[in-house]
Amino acid sequence: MHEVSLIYEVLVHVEQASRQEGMDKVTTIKLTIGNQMMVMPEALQFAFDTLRKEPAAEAELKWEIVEGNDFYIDYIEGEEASD
Amino acid sequence: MTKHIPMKQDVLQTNKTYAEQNRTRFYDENIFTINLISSPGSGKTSVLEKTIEHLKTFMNIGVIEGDVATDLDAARIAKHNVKAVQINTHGACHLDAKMVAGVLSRFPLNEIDLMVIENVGNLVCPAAFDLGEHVDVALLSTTEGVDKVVKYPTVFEKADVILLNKIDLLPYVGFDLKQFRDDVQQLNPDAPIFELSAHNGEGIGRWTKWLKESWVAQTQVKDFDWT
Ligand SMILES: Nc1nc2c(ncn2[C@@H]2O[C@H](COP(=O)(O)OP(=O)(O)OP(=O)(O)O)[C@@H](O)[C@H]2O)c(=O)[nH]1
Ligand SMILES: [Mg+2]
Repeated sequence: MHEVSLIYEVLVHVEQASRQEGMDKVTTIKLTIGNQMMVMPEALQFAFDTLRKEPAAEAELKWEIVEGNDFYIDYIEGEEASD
Repeated sequence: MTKHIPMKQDVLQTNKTYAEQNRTRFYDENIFTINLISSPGSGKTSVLEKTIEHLKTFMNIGVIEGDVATDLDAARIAKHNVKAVQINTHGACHLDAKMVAGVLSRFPLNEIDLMVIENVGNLVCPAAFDLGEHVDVALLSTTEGVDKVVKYPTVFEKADVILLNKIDLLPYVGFDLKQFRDDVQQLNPDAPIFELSAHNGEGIGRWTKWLKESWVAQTQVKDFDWT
């Protein structure tokens, strides 16, 4: 269940980036995951559902599995602050 | 308006930063550091206790114990008159570099030659978290079954050295030694294998000799005058 610590880090980075970019609401978080990271997508989703919070409380988590031991946030999408 | 922010943000960046700081700290203090990984009950603490008995007249040893709960393992180590600090992860299945960084100040680092980090018993999670160690040690025991090497390949692939513990039980558990050596060779041809028993001490000497030599090599590389 290292998925929990990984999702925790993901949420920290997403929160930072969305604040910097003036994004109110994150709708999508896309991850790229190396197969050697031994990450279980179901466990990742479960950890995300447990830990999710603003501005990503309603975001959809997407991922792509690749060869190797990378684990990074590819991009985020969301709504810009309306003012 | 919908906005797309490309990030390419390494999720483990924070851990990597702490790991590099730890590694620099170990290097500056001339400490050789190993990260001991196995499933629960394979005998990490038992092997460590035997290792300490073999080495403690040659080197000063420090031990960081990682467990979900309790300080039982640190207490076992402390009985050997070695400084041991327990980290409780409260649920997490691995140590991370920040946890390790947090306890370093509790050691007299300038006196320590060998730092052993016993990770939380788990064959999966610890592999993803660099702690700043020099050497990863993967331990398997004969009672777990020979198939664990190929079932949990990452730990054995990444290891710098592989230990097989509980060889005193070989006659009872039907563990195929040749299969084990072949599978390890296939996954990780460069890693030396030490077959040992923390129960009767067999093979411990060869393993501690390797540790001593690696420690000497590490410190000599550092002291070598490259100019
Ligand atoms: N027969 C035999 N038993 C062993 C050997 N090494 C360890 N044991 C036993 O295996 C059990 C687990 O040993 P530990 O040293 O606590 O294992 P560990 O990997 O540190 O366990 P965790 O820290 O809980 O993951 C204990 O009952 C030990 O006495 C060995 O070489 N032979
Ligand atoms: Mg132990």
